[in-house]
Amino acid sequence: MTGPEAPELVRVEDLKQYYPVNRGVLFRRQVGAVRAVDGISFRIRKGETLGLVGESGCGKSSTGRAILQLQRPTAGRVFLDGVELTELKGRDLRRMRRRMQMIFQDPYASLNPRMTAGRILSEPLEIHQLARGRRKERVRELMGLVGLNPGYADRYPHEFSGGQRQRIGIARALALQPDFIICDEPVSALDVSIQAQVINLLEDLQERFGLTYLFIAHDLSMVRHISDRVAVMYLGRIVELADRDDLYEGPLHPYTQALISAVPLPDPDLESRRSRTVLKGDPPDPADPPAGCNFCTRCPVAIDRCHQEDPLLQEVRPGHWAACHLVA
Amino acid sequence: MTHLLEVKRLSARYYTPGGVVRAVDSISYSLDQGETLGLVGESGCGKSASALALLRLLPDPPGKIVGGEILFDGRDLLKLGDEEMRKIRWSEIAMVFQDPLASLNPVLTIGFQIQEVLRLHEGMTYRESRNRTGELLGLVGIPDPESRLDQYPHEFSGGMRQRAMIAMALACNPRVLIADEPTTALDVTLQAQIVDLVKELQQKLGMAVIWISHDLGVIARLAQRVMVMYAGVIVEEADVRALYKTPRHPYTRGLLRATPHAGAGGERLVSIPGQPPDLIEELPGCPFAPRCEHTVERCRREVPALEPVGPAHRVSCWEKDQLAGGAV
Repeated sequence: MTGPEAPELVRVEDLKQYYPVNRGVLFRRQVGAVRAVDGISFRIRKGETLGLVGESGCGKSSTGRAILQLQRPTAGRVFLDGVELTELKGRDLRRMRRRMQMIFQDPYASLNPRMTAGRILSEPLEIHQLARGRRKERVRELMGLVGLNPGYADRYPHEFSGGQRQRIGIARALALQPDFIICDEPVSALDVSIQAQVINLLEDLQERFGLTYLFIAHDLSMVRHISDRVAVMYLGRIVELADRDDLYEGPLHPYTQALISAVPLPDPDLESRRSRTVLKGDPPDPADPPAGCNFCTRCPVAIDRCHQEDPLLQEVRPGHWAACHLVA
Repeated sequence: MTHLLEVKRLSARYYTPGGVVRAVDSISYSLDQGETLGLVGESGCGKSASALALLRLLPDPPGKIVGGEILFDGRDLLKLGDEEMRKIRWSEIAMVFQDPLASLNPVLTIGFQIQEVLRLHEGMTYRESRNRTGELLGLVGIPDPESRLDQYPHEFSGGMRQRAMIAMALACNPRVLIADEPTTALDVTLQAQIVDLVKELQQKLGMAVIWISHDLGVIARLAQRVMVMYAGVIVEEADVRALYKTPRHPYTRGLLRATPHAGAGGERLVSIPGQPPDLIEELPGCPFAPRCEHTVERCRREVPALEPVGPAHRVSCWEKDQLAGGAV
């Protein structure tokens, strides 16, 4: 279902999300911009899971929010099933929202503590005027789908464990029967044994409803586990994008190579044999990116050209894209 | 051979309005000179509480050490007076915490805070302590240490702050360093830097390290010996290779199967059903019995003891002999 022949569902073109940096108390003026997302493009096919990895501050969550129009992107276009979301407003946009949903990282902060699980799940149905007359039934159905006891509909979020709360978040995302779900670090707040439960649930639901996922995470092992293709972000840009196994077994970009080699593996034999590229220093400030390639300040193999010229994301091999002067 | 540190039947409780939490329940282990001991477990399993108890730093109230002995160099730390204990802390046993921003005072410079340790514990003059602090910051890889002495914590990046915390912990050449999830708040590339740094410093300075983490990958990279905690007790202890290659306890096996290996993608994760027990309630049998696939009748009635199953390999499970040899 997810092969290259599957039709495209999401298309992102040259997406930019800048946040203004203001100074002054009385006379506030903009003195710069944090380039959280700085011109990225990709497509997601129907039924596919695209993993989006990167370290904190690289712009991966901003990308997710800009795609859903939760905040309006500074520039660029986003299409869902051929409809340009960046042009829609008001009722038209709300209608499209039914088809795209989000699962958030923090199951404590993303559920209203004063609403019962049942209310949380029926609210989207009320807003979109769906399942009229049978909302209670639909809520019970949703709870069953995500493995929660439907008898708990009258309980409040604090009465559930972290893993169960994340299941409520997933049920809420499913309530409107969307095609596309953005999972923004859905398991990073959970313990290892609970993470596996939630990941397995997401996989089952994808199979059952033919869902398309954008899976945003910093955990490279988890992204490899769940994704069909993976995009790696660094300082607002996609530096590499490829099929999962191509990316993890033959990473081309020096940043991807360093990132993958830095992931600790739960195997002491492999760990003692592995050679690692340890990056020096910290990522630069996204309000003041370096000239040339964004990664040149930490890159172990940078040449003069990298400090002058910004590399473009190019298809190096079929389906394998990288933005680096040394591999193009 | 006597151990550097020997913990015998240590128990700690939290007295909360909801009841008495058995955070640490009669754990015994030892640590030798220059050794790295990994302590793995999920949130609430008592790994941090047991580390805080070692230094008698459990917040009291609500926490209290209710029994056991902590023999350090032959002396029972639980019998020392407050003043004597203060001399052990930092000079002999130092600790690095998870969140460096919460452990540093925001209104004092980094240099002042490290110098303070040296002046109090080593009786250094201002000049001496300033020179030594510069050396320490250099030792942990902070570039241009002299000029960074006068900076405040907010002027340091996350990775640099954790380096500064490690410099502070090493200030008095402790014989034991307790690291409580020191890389959990950091990105993988920074995590790799810190893990390598501690490994290198340990070899250079010959101290023993207790590294607490929920990440089986980090432990595999660092530790020589590993203890797995669950619900306030140690369920398995072995040298690192034996623990990952021939784990005996069903919980250890479950954790390993629930962790995606970055070396392989696609296959389904095996989750551990259910969730950890509430440590307020009295558990008659093995705390893992309700989630365990090997539970027999005896598991629900009697608590298994941590017993040897091989050289330096201890397991607390009634079914340990039946579980020998099985693959993960």
